[in-house]
Amino acid sequence: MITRQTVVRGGNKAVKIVVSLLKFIIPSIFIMKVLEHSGLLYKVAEFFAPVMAFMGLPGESALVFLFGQVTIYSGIATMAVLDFTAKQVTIMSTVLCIFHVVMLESAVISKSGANALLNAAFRFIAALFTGLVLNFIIPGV
Amino acid sequence: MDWSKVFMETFSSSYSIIIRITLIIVPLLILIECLKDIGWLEKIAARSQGVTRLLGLPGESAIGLIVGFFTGIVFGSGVIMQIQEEAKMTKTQVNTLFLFIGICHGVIEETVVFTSMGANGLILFTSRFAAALIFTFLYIWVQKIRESKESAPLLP
Repeated sequence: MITRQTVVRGGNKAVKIVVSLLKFIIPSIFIMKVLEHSGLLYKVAEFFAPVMAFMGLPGESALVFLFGQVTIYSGIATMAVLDFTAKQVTIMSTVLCIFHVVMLESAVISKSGANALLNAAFRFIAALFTGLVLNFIIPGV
Repeated sequence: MDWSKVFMETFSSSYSIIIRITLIIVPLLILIECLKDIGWLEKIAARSQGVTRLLGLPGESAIGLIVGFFTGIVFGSGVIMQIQEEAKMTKTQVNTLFLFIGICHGVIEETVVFTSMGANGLILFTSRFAAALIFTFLYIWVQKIRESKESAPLLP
């Protein structure tokens, strides 16, 4: 049954999540902006460009992965700072959706008796594979 | 480096992203709570025995699979831990279940948020689901080969 309490509970949860996200979103955007204005971003991008090119992504997107390991929302915040084409946003989102916050989620998984390392490895391979395939399938730049 | 520019841009970017995420998350979580209270997840789980059979899992695990699939890995594993004692799943079955959920979890929230960032939600969801199925089957297949190799010398 849906009562007023249901709505209140959902609203409370949402507010809690948003408040906890502030701790991650603002620092990640700040770091990205410092990297961008100090010129370090281009060095990082150059370093990762050959790997990310397989998935049709620019080198900077390696940072989205990195920040996405903290919370998925800091990954999203990083994505919003960088310039992506429509195709790149879709590929990046899919890859990030499959492979994010692996440290924490693996810990949760191993508590339930599953093999965390196997799980993480499969997710990593699945993410790269999906990015590769999507780069071929999706038309456009 | 121009620090005032860094702070200004950090502020404006954070502001716009937080507003965007808040506008999505508040109605979405209220909706999910409503669906939970209607018992919608249990209803779907009751009908999804076919999916669990396809993955070689016991029927009881359907509720864990569905909760993890729709809401997220943390809720999902909580439910699965409760089921495990009743269902007596083998190690391979637990791994299979978490492999599927690991790749494809929290689909409502993540798909909606990423769509708001400009991604194509349909491609995002479909490719994720496909990847989960492909890699789960890959794991099951590898396990089958292993088991048959282990038991092969015993056969006459």
